[in-house]
Amino acid sequence: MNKAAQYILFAIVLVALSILSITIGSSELSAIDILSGKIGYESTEWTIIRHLRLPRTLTTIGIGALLSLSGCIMQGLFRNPLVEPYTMGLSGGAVLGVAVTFCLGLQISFGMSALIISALLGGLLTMFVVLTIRRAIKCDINSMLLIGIMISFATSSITTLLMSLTTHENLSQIISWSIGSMDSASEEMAIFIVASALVATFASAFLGNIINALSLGTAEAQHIGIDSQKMIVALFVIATLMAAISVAAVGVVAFVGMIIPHIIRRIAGHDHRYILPLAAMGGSSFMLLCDIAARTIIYPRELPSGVITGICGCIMFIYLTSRQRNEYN
Amino acid sequence: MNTIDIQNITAGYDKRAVISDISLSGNIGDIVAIIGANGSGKSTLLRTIVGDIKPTSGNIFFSDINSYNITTRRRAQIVACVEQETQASQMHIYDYVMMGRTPFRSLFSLTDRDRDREIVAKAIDTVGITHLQNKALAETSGGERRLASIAKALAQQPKILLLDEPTANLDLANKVAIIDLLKTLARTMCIIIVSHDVNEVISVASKALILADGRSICFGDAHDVLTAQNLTKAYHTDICEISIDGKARIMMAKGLM
Repeated sequence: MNKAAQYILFAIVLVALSILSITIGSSELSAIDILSGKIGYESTEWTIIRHLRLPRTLTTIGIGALLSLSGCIMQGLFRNPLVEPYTMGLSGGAVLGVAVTFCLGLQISFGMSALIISALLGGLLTMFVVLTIRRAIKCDINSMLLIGIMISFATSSITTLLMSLTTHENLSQIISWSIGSMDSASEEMAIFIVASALVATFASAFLGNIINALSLGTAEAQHIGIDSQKMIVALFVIATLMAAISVAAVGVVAFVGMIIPHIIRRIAGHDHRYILPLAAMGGSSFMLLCDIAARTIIYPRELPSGVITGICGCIMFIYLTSRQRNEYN
Repeated sequence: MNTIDIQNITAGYDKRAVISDISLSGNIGDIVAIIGANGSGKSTLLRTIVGDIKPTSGNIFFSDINSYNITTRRRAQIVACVEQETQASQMHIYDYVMMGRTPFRSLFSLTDRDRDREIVAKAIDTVGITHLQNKALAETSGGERRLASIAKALAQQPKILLLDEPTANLDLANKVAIIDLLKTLARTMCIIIVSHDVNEVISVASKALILADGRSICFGDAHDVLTAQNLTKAYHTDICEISIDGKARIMMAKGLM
């Protein structure tokens, strides 16, 4: 299948899953009615779509795109297929930020926005720490990865300490937040997330050449004219920002950033100019599938989407790895 | 004006000099061999030329351009490097060779230009791996990957081509193929080759530099430099020169006993 056909197929799947996501819920809506415009703006159905289903669907699409793009960039940058957006301590920092907010009761004074801001700051702080240490000790890209992993352990340990000292109510809220879920998606959040995802998808296509070069190794990239050290920092910051926005908005959604790049590379090869936009669409579709499953598996109750992505991602990863081994043998 | 002119450079790692006061020069048509024992500074010298290491003293000129006053991109338009190891990635050989055009196109380009495709096709054809261009690097042999690396370097259309032990770990047929290829390539560029195999380079090199303990023993015309006496100093073992079919061959004196 040529690249244009791949893009069209992915777009069709994404649109179909988006419509399905809007129709599924406690009040079933007809896709035909939605597409044919039979739903009036004064109707209950439109209110449900506009205030609940559409923000959730758009947020899910945006989150899937941001995490997949971030994972794709990170795996190309570190030349390691096991790296995902959270490997470098981002999720640990975000959860720590949220834990501090709950422990200090800031969400009572400042509302939900305090959680979002603290998660964002916590994630970005870990990025800053990794870059600072890297600069101080002048380490290579592999050492930078190890530093990120250690920061991740450190933030998790501090979070565990806070959780052990705080109240049961706070503990429950911290855990609840840290398991990624789309159920808190608002219209404002949806607009911001989708806008971020569109900018990220558009920009990432132009980063493809640089990531292709860095995937050869920092020395070889330098020898073909890429200023490797500057580009490593720039790409790391961009990928971290993408993931930080996602974590701040909906919590930690595991595995998307690791598994989607794998799937896309198997379908579309290794040229990041092409696979980055595909990864965005693929990630969005995967997230929609997982969110639909989260809403329907134990209906009328809902599972957090992060649970579904973790389980599905694990199964898909094992399957892909075993297929790859069989092909290799 | 030489294509490359290295003047008294000293360079190393963490403020420790690995090479000291090294000079060499070369022009289009030259194959300059850098010979020396392990740890003598050959790879350090190569890395200094390609810009990975900045010398603490001395200068390197590419024609009349001071190599430390140019950007990474500009340097890559002049100098190409073939590493000792080419990693076995899933990138197809064609795409890998196309990476050699990076210094000449916009970093943010989404498609390949016709001109780039022509240059890549020619580079792949020159090294004789057209039949492999749709294969992933990981699916090819060490020799084939080495040829792909040379093709990538050729796609950069360099004036100076650096090769770090290009025939290491290759079988005889591949060694001969690469050496023959270098003879052809030297017509349009200055080639600098680091090698442990003196007999391999003695047949192609026009100039040679012998290093020992980070210092130059001598530099000049290959036949004047690659003598048993100079090589004995470099390798700290008795070297002798014998003639086979009228061609000079270097051997360890112990091997003849």
